[in-house]
Amino acid sequence: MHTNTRILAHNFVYHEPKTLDEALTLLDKHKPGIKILAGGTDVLPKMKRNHFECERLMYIKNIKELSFIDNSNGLKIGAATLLSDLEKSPEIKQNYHALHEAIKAIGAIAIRNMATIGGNICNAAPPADTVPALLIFDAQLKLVKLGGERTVPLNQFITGAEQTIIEHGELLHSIEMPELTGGLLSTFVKLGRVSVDTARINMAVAADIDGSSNTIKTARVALGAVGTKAYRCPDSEALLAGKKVDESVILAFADSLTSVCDYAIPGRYSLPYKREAVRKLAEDAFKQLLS
Amino acid sequence: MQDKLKSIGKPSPKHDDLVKVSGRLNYAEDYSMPGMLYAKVLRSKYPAAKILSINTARAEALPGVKAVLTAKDVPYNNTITKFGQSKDVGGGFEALYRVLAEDKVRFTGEAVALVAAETLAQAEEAVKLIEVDYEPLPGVYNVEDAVQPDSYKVGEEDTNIIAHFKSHKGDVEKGFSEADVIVENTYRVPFVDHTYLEPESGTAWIDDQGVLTIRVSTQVIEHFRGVAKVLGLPENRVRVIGTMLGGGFGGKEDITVESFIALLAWKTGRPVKLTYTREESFLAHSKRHRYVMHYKIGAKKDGIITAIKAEILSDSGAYPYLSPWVLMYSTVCAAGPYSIDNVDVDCKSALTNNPFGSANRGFGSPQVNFACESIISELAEKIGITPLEIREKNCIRQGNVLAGGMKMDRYVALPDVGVQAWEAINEQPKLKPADESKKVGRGMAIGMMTYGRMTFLHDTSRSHIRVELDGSVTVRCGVPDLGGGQAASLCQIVAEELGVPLSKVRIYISDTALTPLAGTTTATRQLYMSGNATLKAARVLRERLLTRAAAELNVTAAELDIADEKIFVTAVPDRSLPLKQVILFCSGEGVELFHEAQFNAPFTDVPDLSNVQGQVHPDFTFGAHAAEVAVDTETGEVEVLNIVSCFDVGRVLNPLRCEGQMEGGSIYCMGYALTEEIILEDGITLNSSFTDYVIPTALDAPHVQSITLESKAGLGPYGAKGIGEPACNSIAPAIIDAIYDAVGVRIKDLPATPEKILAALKA
Repeated sequence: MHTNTRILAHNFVYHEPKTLDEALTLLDKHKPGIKILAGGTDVLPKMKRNHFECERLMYIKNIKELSFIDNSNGLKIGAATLLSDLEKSPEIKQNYHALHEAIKAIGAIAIRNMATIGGNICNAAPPADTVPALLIFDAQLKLVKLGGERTVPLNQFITGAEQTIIEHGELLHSIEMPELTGGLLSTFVKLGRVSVDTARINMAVAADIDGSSNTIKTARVALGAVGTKAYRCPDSEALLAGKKVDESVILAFADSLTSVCDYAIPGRYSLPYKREAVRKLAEDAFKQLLS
Repeated sequence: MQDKLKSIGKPSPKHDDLVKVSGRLNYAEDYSMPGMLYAKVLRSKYPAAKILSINTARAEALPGVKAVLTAKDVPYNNTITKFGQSKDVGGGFEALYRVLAEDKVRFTGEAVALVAAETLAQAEEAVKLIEVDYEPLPGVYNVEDAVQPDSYKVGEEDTNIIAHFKSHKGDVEKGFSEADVIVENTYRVPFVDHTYLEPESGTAWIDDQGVLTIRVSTQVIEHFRGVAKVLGLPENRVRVIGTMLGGGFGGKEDITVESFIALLAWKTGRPVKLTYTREESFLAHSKRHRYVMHYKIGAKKDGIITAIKAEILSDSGAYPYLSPWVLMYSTVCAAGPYSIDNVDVDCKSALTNNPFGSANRGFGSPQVNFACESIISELAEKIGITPLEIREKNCIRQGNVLAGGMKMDRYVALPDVGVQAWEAINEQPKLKPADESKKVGRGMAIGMMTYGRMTFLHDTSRSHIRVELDGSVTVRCGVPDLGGGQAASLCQIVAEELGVPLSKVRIYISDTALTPLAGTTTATRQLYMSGNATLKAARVLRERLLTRAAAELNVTAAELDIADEKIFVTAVPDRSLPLKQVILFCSGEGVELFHEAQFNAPFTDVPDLSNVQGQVHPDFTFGAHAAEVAVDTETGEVEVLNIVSCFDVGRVLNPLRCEGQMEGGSIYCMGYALTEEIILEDGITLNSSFTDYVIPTALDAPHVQSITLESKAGLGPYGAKGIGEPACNSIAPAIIDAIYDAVGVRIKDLPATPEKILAALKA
């Protein structure tokens, strides 16, 4: 019985490699017409709306080498690791808390059971929730191709809305974050319209706070959905560094984020709202960090 | 009678719950047929354009394509809309229904051509190959512009205004001159979608007898007459079989895929299936009308309202469909459930090149209820009394006359419903959120909404019951079941009257050939209309069974009762006969064990449209909502913490279903209050998906406390009233009032988005 109300309107060849070697060989052989399917939570809706075309589609979730969480030295995550597996990782929850919170904020359980972290990155949607979290942990992306590999920082990988520097024949292999030093606390905050929603603004904040003096030694801030890609906010980070945590510093932090919005999306319809609402995220972030 | 009821009033799962939750129930899209073709619709990409030419040659040449149809292939492309009513009501209420666009297109998404092909992929490809040469026209997208004499004309008439209804009482200017406090505001509500889970779907085929048969998800199987008209066939050669609906909410009251698949099946001789995609559904079906409502109200210092004036403008969109009918509901409900001496209501509806407006749960009531209740709450505050007090002082009571001149002879549960809702929401002290930027507020609103169709439509319904020889019962009633339990309620009535367990009653519904026509599942009418028809049929059969048993037991029929599959002497319950035995006596002696009954609503003439007075509806359901919200003063976000829904439902047939309607109705229009809006840019819908058109999810739904009052004063079976549509009527103004209570911002332009609230807070 045919019960699919929406078919994929064009034909393509479908590949299901079991190993990385096999995948890279296919990618090399069939470039540029071959595209990658992971969780499918972005690709399939796009295909159904004819916003995504390919001659060949390669499914990568059967490749075991691409699904892992390795916290032996920093944090390494395979690109095809399910969001729900990452959500369950106690190490990520403990040490890379902002990433844990960001993943929890994505879609509903059914989506997280399908979607992969690599997909969230490579889709490069401006409100992608994992990206600000990965940015504050200085994530590096390992890209592999037949007979080669390179590592690029995440902030250089995404260049704009749904734009990345990945080349034909290349595959995102893993995400690597350096070991955290000191007592870095981190969190992720998000503003949506309803409980399950894409972000209108999302933000990850990490801070190393000296407990005795209540002073911020260093801070990291990344903002998403304000502009065509998520980015670190160096001015805000500099402003926080060396300051005592109190109301005035949080206010100054909120001011700096308002300025970031003014600079990032001048004249945009959403600016009057976002420049105000981001201030609450600043407060919430610190509340969560200190709780 | 009340204490003895066995089935009525008892919580019982519906007979179809298990098949639904186990996924075994077939919806329209689940049916397929051998040799079936797939249809696709080519839709206009312009909101207003002249069609210069259509070239279908390339599409027709595509392998697998069996038919490509345009307006010239439709035998009767221009007909008059009918909605299953028993009586033609003519000019003003019935207007052009066009199957495919002709000469010019009036809205983005209007159907221009149809394709049927062997596969869906071929049909999709063929649609792309149809070449339409358009000459874009300026169009008009704002209803306030559309009513101007020199505006762009959407249709073929020399005015865009399609309906203008007025209603007045007393002298409003005198009323305002007597007022100590006057409030005047303009309220706006957007086009919103029904967002049913199941998109439009149907399959048509010609059966072995040559009958054009359509299996479709619809609220109105009576559209078979419209399809017959379009094809020029006798009405008895078109059969509509309705499937269980995955939601309707008024969006499947208009014809959807029926004419399209009928034309394609007729042309090809093959079965044809058409199912809309979600995006297509957003573009293709009706919306709840956008309204601009200017209200003025005056009151004495003591809170007694002296006058109310409402000027209402409804954006009908590109075709009239049900707009005039919807406007009539607004006209009747514009001044709310209040007893006010001086009233002036002026309602207009005009065509624009926006998506067309038509029925949506509430049918013109939620729009005016939002405006009226909002201004009443603001008036209360200006006078210095509570939202409840002003309603207690002014609401109608039994014996009062509504603004539209209808005398409320029956029991009116006002202000009771308001008092109970307000007391329930205030039972607990207000929560103090840990987050000091969040402020908690409470608000309330009351409302009245009709059940049953407008009385000038002369509404009727029929139901057929047959008692089987083993004591089971078969019901046939052409009622479409939207998922609200329309069919299950009828089974309960039969079980009650014939003294059989619910499990022994089987119902067949929604088939124009095999079930008696029961009218539309719209207008909150099925329990009232088909419930009464079923009750009437059941009582005839009950009487026959009692009469036969009386002879056997040597008593009169009046001394007997039926329960638990036994007929017994009421005074001496031990003197009894098994029901089955009485049935066998009747069967053996030629007593008819079946009956079909018809129920007629009250009939009136079409009212004077320049001053609508007197009875327009059979009766009203009165209700109230109270809401508690937390508003974040820094982001403008609103979280609804609690909702109380209180209605006089007359009589509860099944508490589970009744509460289901009250909870569902509350959440349905919680979205109306806070998030939902079709965003249009010059007639182009910008948010035709659930990513961009945001509705509340289960995670956003607060606890809804349902309080049901049972006055037994309704016109339905056992004194029941209707609850389906009324259940959503007054939640939006209650939430908006609660937002004001929390942060001092009155939103007059729905939805109350964080942007609007934050902008108002910063202003």
